[in-house]
Order: sequence, then C-alpha cells, then structure tokens
Amino acid sequence: MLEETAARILERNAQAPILRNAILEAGLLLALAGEDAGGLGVSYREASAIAYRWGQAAAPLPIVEMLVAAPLAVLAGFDATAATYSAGLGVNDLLPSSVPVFDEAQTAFVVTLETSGANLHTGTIGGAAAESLAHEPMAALGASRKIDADPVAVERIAVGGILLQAAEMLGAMSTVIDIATDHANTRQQFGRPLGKFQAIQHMLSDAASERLIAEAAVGAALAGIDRGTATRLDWLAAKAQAARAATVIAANAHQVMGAIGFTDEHHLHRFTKRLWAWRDRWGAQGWCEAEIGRIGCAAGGDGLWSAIVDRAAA
Amino acid sequence: MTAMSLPPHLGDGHDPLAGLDSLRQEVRAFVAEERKAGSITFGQQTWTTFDREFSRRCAERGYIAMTWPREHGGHERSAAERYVVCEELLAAGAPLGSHWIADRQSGPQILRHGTEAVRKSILPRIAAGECTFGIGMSEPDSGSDLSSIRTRAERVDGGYTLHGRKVWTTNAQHADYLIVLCRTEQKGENRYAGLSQFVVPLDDPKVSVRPLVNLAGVHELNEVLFDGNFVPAENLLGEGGDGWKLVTEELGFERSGPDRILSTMGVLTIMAQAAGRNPDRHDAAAIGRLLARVVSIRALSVAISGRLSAGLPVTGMATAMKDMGTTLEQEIPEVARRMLDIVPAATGAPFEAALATAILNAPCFSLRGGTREILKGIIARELGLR
Repeated sequence: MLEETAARILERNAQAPILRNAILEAGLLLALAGEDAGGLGVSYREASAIAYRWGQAAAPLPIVEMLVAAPLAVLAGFDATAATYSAGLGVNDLLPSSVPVFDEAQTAFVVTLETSGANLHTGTIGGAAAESLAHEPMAALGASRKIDADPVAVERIAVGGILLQAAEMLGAMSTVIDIATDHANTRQQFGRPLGKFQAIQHMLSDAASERLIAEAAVGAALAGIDRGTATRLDWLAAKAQAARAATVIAANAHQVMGAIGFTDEHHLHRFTKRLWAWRDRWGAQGWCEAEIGRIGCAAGGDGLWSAIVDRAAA
Repeated sequence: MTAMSLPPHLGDGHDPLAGLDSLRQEVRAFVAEERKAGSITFGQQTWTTFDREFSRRCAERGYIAMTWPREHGGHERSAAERYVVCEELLAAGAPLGSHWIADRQSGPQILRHGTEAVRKSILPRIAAGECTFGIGMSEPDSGSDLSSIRTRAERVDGGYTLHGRKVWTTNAQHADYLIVLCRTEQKGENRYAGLSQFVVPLDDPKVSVRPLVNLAGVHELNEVLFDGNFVPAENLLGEGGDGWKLVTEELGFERSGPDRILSTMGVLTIMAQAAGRNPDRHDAAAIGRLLARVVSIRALSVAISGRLSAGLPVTGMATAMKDMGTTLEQEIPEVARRMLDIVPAATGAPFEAALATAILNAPCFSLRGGTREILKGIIARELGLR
C-alpha cells in the first residue's frame, strides 16, 4: 500500500515543494508517528518501502529525515503534523555539523547515539551549510537544546533512521545496477554487446551480490527492530554493508558505463553521488565498522559467536 | 523481486531461525563435551576432516538426516533446525567430514531421485553416521567445463558398467559410495543431454582410489578410477539422461549453507581475543569490517534457507552467497596475519597452527563447489546479461 502510494506520487511530481504537499496529503510523512498523534503507525520495515522508492527515483527532499522527524517530534512534544522538520544523527555525544533541509524546514530533531542509549536534541534550522556530495541542500543547526525523552524510545527511532537510510541506498543501488546492466546489454564494442565480455559480467555480478547481501542484512535488521529482537551488531552491520555495497556498485557501474557515465548529462551520477553521500549519513561507515569491532572484542573469543547468532526472544 | 534481489519491504519479516535457542544450547553442550574429549581441536578444517566416531555421536543426537522422513532414518525436523545445528558445529570447528557430503547433498539427492531400493538400503546408514559419500563430478580434463566429462556407463544385463576417472574427490579413501556423473549417451549437439548420475559403491576390486596430496601435505583429495565395475540399474538417479538437471540441483544445495562462510571463523575468534576488550580504532575497524561481513552474508544464507523451505527459487542467490562467503573466508586470515603478532606455523602453538591451516587451505575455498569465475558467470546470467 505505502509503496504503491509512494510510487504513484513519485511518478507525478518531480519538484520538491509539490512533492512535499503530495506526501503530506497522502499521509506518508506521518507513516512512523503513532495513530494517536495523527500518524499511520506503520512498522519500520513497511516504512522502508517509501525510502526505497525515493532512492530508486533519486527524488528530491530528505525523505529519511522527514520520516524519522515525525516520531521524534511526538517524543519532544511537538505537533507531528507540521511537516516543517528535518532530523539528524550524531555519534560520540557530538551533534552533527549540518542536516539536510528543504524550503519549509524550520526545526531539526537530532539524536546523539552513545555506546548505550541516546539523547534527543531540538534545534532551529540555521544558515546554509556546504551542500552534500549529491548537491542536497544542507543547513547548520541553530540554537539547540536537549529534550528530556525516554532514551530507549529515542534510540529505537534513531536506529530506524539508520536502516531507512540503508533502504534508500538499496533503492538507488537497484537503479544503478539496472542502468549498468541495460548499458552492458545494448552497447556494442568489438562487434558484440559489452555484457558478453567476462570482465564486464564479473563486475556486474559483484555489484548484484553486494546488493543482495545488503538487502538481506538490512531486511533482517528492519524486521528485528520491529520485533524488538535486533542487536546493536545487527543494525550496525546492516549500515556498514549498505555502505560497502554502495562503494562497489558505484565504482563498477561507472567502470561499465565508460566515459558517458562520467558526464553531467548522463543521469547515472544522480544515483551514485547520493550513494557516496549516504554511506556516511545516519551512521558513517567508519564509525559503524569500528563500533562493530568493539562489540566483537567486548564479546571476546568465547563470546563472539554468541554475539553473532543469539537473540533475545521476541 | 527478481532472482537476484530481495528488497526488505517485499519480504515477510519472518526470522526463520527464531525460537530455536534451546536447540542451540543443546548443540553447544555437545560441543563442550567433545572439546573436553579432544575430538574438536582449535582451528582445524571442519567439514572435510574425517572422524567416523564423531559422526556416530552426531547421529546418536539426531544431528544427521535431520529433515529426512522417519522411514528413511531421518528425524523430520525443519530446515531451520538443521541450519542451527550445522552452523553451531561448523563455527566450533567440529570434524564433520565423515557425514557432511552425504548429509548435505548425496542423501537429499537419493531421497529425491533415488529408487526405493537404494533409499531403503543407504539412507538409514547415512542417518546412523555409518556411511560416507564422495562427489564424483570433476575429471582430469573436465573441471569447470563439467559437461565435457568422459566417464561413461555402458548398459549391461541388470545394470551398467563404468569406465573413467574422477578427481578431487574429498575423503574418497574413506567413502562407501560416490555419486558419479557420467555419459550414458554419446555427446551430441546438446552437450548437456545424455548425462546421468549413479550411486556407485566403492567396495569393488574394479574401483581404485589414489591419493592427491594437497599443498598442506594433507591427504583429503583423491583420484577414483572405474575399470568396468558393475553398477545395478536400481542405482541410477532420476530418469537417466537428465543428469545435468540433477547435478545443477545438487550444486544448489551445496552452495548456500553456513559451510561457505565459516571455514575460518576460528581465526576471527582469535582476532577478537587478541585485540583485547578495549581495542584501538585500527584493530576495531579491521575486525569490524570482517564481522559486518559475517553478519551480513549469514543474513543472506538464512534468508536463502527460508526460501528453500518455501520452495522458492534460489539459484542466483545461493551462487552469490557462495562467491561472497568464500571470499570472506579467504580474507579473514589475511587480515589476521597483519593484525596479530603471530607467525603462522602448521606445527606451532594452537593460534599459530590455526592461522597456518587457514592460509594453506584458503585457495581451495573459491575452487570447490564451482570456481569463483563460474559462479560469477551464473550470477551475470541471472542478472539478465545476454
């Protein structure tokens, strides 16, 4: 349902302000807010369909931030239906230096994630900051204050944001793989389609395998947070793998596409630049990997296997 | 959803392994006992290491033929239960070589395509841990190009006689049977037609087994020669002539399991141990990258096992899992080497020996069960490259 609605809206609207109105009217922006706050109260796995479709279309608007802002606004006692919110994630007790924004954005809800637990802050949208690799408009945080909120609930929403960012990346990966596969099947060199060359086949095979692993990891983590069984290792690994897959897929797709894919004119970069930027948003890849290692070392030789496979009962 | 993609929102969110904690604990208690008794040593190769006594003890606990029907000695447990038992034993480094091939692929192949007589006589013995199988696919002139095999079966009264040579058969020196892929008709225009699979007893003077010692100096691989040995007609699998379909199906079962991720798990454990509880960022990131891979590739393996149980197609996904899983198995010792201040030595202390075993065995991870290059070709086809 959500996915079809998102797809229909994306098909008809390309400009950010119109798109914002359309998703506001359809109720998609409040997908993650509870029904008592006027939202749809859907699971994170269901909401991931919206982020996936967004990534697949390279659509404007920071959809992950907008989706996650709604339940954070509810926690902070704001009116979730205002749709003027962005969001962000910082780690090691540091606020992020900027958040993605859109014309109507006025307030940001920012989570700082600690080794255990999370804090919620709210801030005004400040002046424009350097745009991202994908030319997304970004803004600095203005005056901010810490909100007294249930750290468990805050962490759960932040983890939702991490996984929705990963889902949006999966959507972009699928378009990148489609573009490169289509090119390999149609572009002829040396009298045959590029896809007949084993070197090209292997690059696309690696791209598809990386995506598949990322899909499985993100899928397991999403279902796990919905059930309440996901471990910290599960969602960190999902985001780290999404970032790793993005790197391989973008590199291999550009290699297969050749010079045309390096031009401004060709649309491949609209997807690959987003992938490059999103690798380090909602949990930077380097931070995820180091955190995962710390979890493994804290478990030690005797506890490592258990950390990988054991889950609390749902 | 295509054959090569599993977008999370299109799945059902079900965890195929949920609710099996007590089974895990049971297997861990068994492993702890076996460690104490010395049958599980640190860092050894697991599913190629032959130990029939160990397999018998697995059988006593119902860890072999778990999903098969009771009438054939099985335990009618779920694929998820089998998955849990297998990954616990593999992660611990248990010596599963006496029953692994039979339990993973030969038994299931007989169950699906064998005659009633063969099922009755062989399956209960596999389930009891008394019967070892080897794989009879590759030949001296047919490695990746499997359809070019020359071993042939000639029709005789009551069955067939076999002529030819198979190579790279793990544990053939201990095996009771091989499933042999051979030509039952001359190679025609369709190179995949006219192949058949047979269950071939090795206890026959016209079958000889010769060692092919590997680079680690270990004798696991063998050459098997068939010089006119008789195979009863009832030992044919399938219809005859459909061997290519059967062998492809068999390789599917061979490719997506935890045995394609965990061959060097012991080395990752050493790294987590050696880095200490508070690693520096460099060590944490090095271990984290590998651990993220184990978690993620395992998630795919678990998802595939769920799809197998549901009767959904898995060819492309299983192939991708094996390609990525075996690459990870090879990467682990290479990262460990640079992180740990250990000199790998096959006859050294336990950590040194484990690292040496991993380095020396790593080349075969991406050869056995289909080379990396063959796998990537299959994936490309599944992806729609033409």
